[in-house]
Amino acid sequence: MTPAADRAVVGAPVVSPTAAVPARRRGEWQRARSSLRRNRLALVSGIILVLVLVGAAFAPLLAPHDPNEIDILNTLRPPSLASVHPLGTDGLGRDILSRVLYGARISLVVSVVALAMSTSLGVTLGLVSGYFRGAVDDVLMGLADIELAFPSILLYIIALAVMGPGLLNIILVLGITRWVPFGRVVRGEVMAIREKEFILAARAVGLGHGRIILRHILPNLVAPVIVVASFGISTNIILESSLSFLGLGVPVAVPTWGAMLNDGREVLRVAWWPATMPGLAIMLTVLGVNALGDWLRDFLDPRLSGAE
Amino acid sequence: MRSFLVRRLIRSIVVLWGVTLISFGVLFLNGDPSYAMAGADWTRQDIENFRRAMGFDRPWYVQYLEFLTRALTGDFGNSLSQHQPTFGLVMARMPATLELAGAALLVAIGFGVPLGILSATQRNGIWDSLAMGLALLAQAMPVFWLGIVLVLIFGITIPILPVAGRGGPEHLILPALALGAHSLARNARLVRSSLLEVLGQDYIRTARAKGLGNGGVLLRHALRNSLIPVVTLVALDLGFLLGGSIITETIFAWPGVGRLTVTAVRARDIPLVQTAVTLLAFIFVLLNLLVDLAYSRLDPRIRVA
Repeated sequence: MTPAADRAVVGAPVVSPTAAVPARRRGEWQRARSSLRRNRLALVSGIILVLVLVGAAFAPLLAPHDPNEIDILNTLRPPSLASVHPLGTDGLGRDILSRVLYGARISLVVSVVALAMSTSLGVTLGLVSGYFRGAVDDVLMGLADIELAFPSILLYIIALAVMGPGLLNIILVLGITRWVPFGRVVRGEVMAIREKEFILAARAVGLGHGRIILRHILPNLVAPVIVVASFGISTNIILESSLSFLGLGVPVAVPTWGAMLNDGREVLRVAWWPATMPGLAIMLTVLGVNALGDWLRDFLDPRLSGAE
Repeated sequence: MRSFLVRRLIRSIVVLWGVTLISFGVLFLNGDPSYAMAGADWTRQDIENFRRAMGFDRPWYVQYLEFLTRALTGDFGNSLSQHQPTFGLVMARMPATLELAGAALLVAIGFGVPLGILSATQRNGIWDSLAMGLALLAQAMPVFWLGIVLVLIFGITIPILPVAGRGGPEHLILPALALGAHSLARNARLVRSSLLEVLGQDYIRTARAKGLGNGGVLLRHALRNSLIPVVTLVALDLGFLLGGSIITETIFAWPGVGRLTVTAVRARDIPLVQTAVTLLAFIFVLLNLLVDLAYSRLDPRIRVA
């Protein structure tokens, strides 16, 4: 369930030395070409993401129909560009294009807000852990270990079973539990940074811990945190849709990609499109975020480029 | 070696203790069960008497201790929706879940490792592109979406495989593929990069210099070392597979613990959810401990670390 965590945390120490190999073996010309190709992928991903963002932001303007409008006479219309339902209709006659557009809002809002929560939590805990070390560090990293050593979806399920499904609940659950990748990466960076000469100099000048952390350490964490966050978004999108698919996420009245897939599953034998359209939406969005994240990582922090 | 074992054992126990604390806390936060169990004709006094009789009026730590001692003997209470001991209900479904997770692990390792070897040895060749493309796709496909695509292709368009229920080995193919695909792709990537790293080492050059052929270098020297990281990831795989089985079982109507959990959540049968999660976590921790032990045998460096 946590591809980003695996990539950012587990993969890193094992493989980084290979990153240098292709550069040495292939010529400059080929390297330029492959970098161009990578950029083109990032470009396409960027375009996809802009489309998703625009679709989500302007869903009320772009959607041809009310996403919850039931039309019993027009159920399961196949997709056709010429019709009033370009992506077809679902088992209740609701317009799939409109639902996919409105679903993008939920996916993005849940992922981004939860990500903001887990980023601030993870950065704070990682800073404290890496800067002060000692007992705090032991406790926090022990907690992180336990979270990594436990199938997190079980935690989400039991938490949501008790709290009940809901937009706020799903954001809270994802926001609080997903701090671990941030915490670990930040802790590692802080431990390296705090041994540098400029920190020693800052301390010699008489600066306090708070000022050193805020003014001298925090700015150096921006690049790695952005990299982890870019993969955190796609993990959150997948988690939100999985929980909605199980009926644990957002209430039924709100269209979400996961819930649409679950509805579509019930009519799969007669119609492929009600499940396929939201599935493609999830896949394209996640592919876009991941490819852009890869590019961002190379761009911001070439040291990490082998980390997968 | 012994201190390593002890440390791992302590960690497992702490995780399990955390799990019981969470599952008890969840039940406790859910409110006093007396009100949920009370019949419509009960008076306030009846409810109060019931509370006393069941011990729900005692402080939480007393109740937690009792919960813990009963859980240790396999007594998790009764299901609210099926009126049977939850332990028996969950354990009856456990073999199906383990079968599915095991098959998915087999898919992940059985196809992932060879694919990784092929793509590392024939770098930038067709296998390499295939493996990397697959990895990109698998990372963007949530289990339930891949499951639906598989049902659509092999169950409906070309109906050659069963898509629901448990039965002969053919029933396992699609669910195991859907569940294992993500780990397959990750294993392939990991083996590829790990093998590429090992192949660049000096001792590989030495092995070649003494006249050993490609196959010999690969089998005798490179593979052994490059597979070590894969073993660590097996532990993560297991967590992913047990967690993912909840979704996969829902799609393929697989009669396992995952499907039971989802039904229990929908019925708001909290004790059953609690028992299922606790037992899944228990099995997961146990398997993790075994993987750690295997790992420490394979890589002696770990024992000191």
